[in-house]
Amino acid sequence: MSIRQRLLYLHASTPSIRSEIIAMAIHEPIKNSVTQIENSNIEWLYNSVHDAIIDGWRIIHFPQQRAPFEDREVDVMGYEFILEKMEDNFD
Amino acid sequence: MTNNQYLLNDKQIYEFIINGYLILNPKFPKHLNEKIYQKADALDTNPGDNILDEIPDLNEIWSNPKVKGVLQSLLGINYTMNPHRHCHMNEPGSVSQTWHQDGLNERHHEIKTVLGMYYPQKVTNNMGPTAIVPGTHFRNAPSDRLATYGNFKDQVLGTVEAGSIIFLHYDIWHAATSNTSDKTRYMFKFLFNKNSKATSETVSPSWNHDTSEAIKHFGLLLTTQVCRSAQSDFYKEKALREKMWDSMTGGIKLNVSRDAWAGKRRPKKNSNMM
Repeated sequence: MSIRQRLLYLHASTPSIRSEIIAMAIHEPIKNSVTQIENSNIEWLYNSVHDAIIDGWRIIHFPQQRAPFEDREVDVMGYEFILEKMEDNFD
Repeated sequence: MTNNQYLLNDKQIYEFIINGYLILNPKFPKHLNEKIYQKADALDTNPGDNILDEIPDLNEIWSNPKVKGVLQSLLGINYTMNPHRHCHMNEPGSVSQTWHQDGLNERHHEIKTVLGMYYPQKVTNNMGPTAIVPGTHFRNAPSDRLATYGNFKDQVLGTVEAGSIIFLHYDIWHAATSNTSDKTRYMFKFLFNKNSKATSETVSPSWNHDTSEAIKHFGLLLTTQVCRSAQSDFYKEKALREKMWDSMTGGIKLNVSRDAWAGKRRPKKNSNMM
């Protein structure tokens, strides 16, 4: 039995952990597992980063809050939080 | 010149500006779609840019009056077909692509290039439909920066009838999804360019423009949110939509109000309150 790192990317609408999630990707520590754009039955695990914390996820990357260089343009979507959960039930 | 009956109207132009795509089903004869599908299925290699030599029937798709009407409306009367085109073969068992923009994003907010994606067969959820994130054609985000996104709450899937075409702004975020069916999904991607000599002085509406209709629907640009994002992004997006509209009309000014609050009814007062 080995402990492995699960990764969860949550893109929130603001840098606040209470704000709404607008995009999500989960990476399981399983060989040949796939993380992809789903064309049916998307399971939205959490409505906010806060919800994920309550479920045991730990934030390992916070989005930076620096304003964009060109403040009249839009670039990437949302604010990226990366969370981990160490689990051992993959064998 | 295309017959006016096939051109878009102001509301449809606003919708393209907002969404960055539109879906058209010109109702091609069934045998034409089937013939193109069968010829694609018989190819031993992907002919790349030479796909028209291998399947000349595709010329019928892009010379259809309804198709030309959409392209003229979006790109102007002198639009041209780009020499780059591609037959996308989404084979059974594929996994999804990652989100990407085609080519490099350029820092402008015009419609300089339109992608025309023609699907000769019906595309259902399990056949690897093209996924699109509406409104992302305004975003200056090179594809590498999209690699960590998975699913978006507001992504849409191009599940379409046989013979449909999805027209997309060249910069929009999109991706092929997984094909879990037992049938190859073909999509023929062609690019169309605005006449590079067109300037703001020479540009005028190339669709069925009617000032009163344009005023009537102008609020769509200011109020429609098609993809949840940061509130400040939405404010910027609204300004960029107007910039795109200006670039298409040559700067026609409409006598419209941007005050979304004027005339709004107040909530009824609670009669129990003293």
